Amino acid sequence: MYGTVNRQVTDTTDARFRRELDSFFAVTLLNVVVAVPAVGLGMAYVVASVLGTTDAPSSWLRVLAGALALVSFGLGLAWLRSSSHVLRGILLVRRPFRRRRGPPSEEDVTRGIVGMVAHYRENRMTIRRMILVCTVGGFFFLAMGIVSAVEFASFSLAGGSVTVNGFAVLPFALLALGIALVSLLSSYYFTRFSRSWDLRLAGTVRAEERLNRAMEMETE
Amino acid sequence: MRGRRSPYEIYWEILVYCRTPRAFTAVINRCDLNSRTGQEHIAFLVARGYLAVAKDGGKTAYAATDRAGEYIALFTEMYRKLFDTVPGFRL
Repeated sequence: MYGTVNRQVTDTTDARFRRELDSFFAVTLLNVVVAVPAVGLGMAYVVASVLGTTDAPSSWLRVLAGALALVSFGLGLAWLRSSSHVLRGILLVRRPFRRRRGPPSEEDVTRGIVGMVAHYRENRMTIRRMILVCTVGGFFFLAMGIVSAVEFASFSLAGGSVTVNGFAVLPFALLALGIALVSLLSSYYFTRFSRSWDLRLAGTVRAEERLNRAMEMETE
Repeated sequence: MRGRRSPYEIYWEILVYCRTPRAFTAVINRCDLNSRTGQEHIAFLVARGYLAVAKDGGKTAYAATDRAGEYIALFTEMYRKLFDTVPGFRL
């Protein structure tokens, strides 16, 4: 009860805006951080598959891993580029709030909201693409992780014990599964973010109609 | 990078900045506008009575009028409301 009342008192527009900005910043930053090993992992797999050094027990498994790696490498690059672009915009909106020591003025918060609205309006399609890339990329990395895990299991089962080569596959599997998890989570959070901001963009259209009416009434 | 702003958002930025009289170049620099669009927006706001033109010697400055205050207040209320009415996003 007290928590609800307390939250209502402290949950101002300013606090909500800054919290949302921080949340979006965190998700986008996580995307950039994870996109780098994703690209590296994809490249390592492609090279390993081309050189035939994966030591996969069957050739079809190696071909499959190579194909998945090539696709995930491309997705990783697209993912990194989109995330960096969106992150740059958020950093610009967020900077004045980070530098300020005291609570921001009403004007600063409104400026931040305008900045975020303008940023989302410009990058709406990029964020939609990011949702798609994160979803597709997530499933690709999941597949890569599973293929690597199968390779690891094959090594273990074939020899009756885990070999050095078997252990070499395990980090790849874990890394791919970790990237898949972050990617799918990002897709979920970006979808939620996008849903909120689509509603807000619709709200700005209504606000503009009202502002236009007010301007016309005043000049009459 | 300022994103894609609507004309109403640019008007708000110009009017807030011109609470104290400002030169044309200062306005376009601060509001990140090119000369042509800056001219168009400022001419529009002057024509509507939101900006007053003050000439001091050879220099021209633009200052927000009382009417601008009403626009700023309405704009601020409506944009802040976007965060009150729409369910927020958080981790």
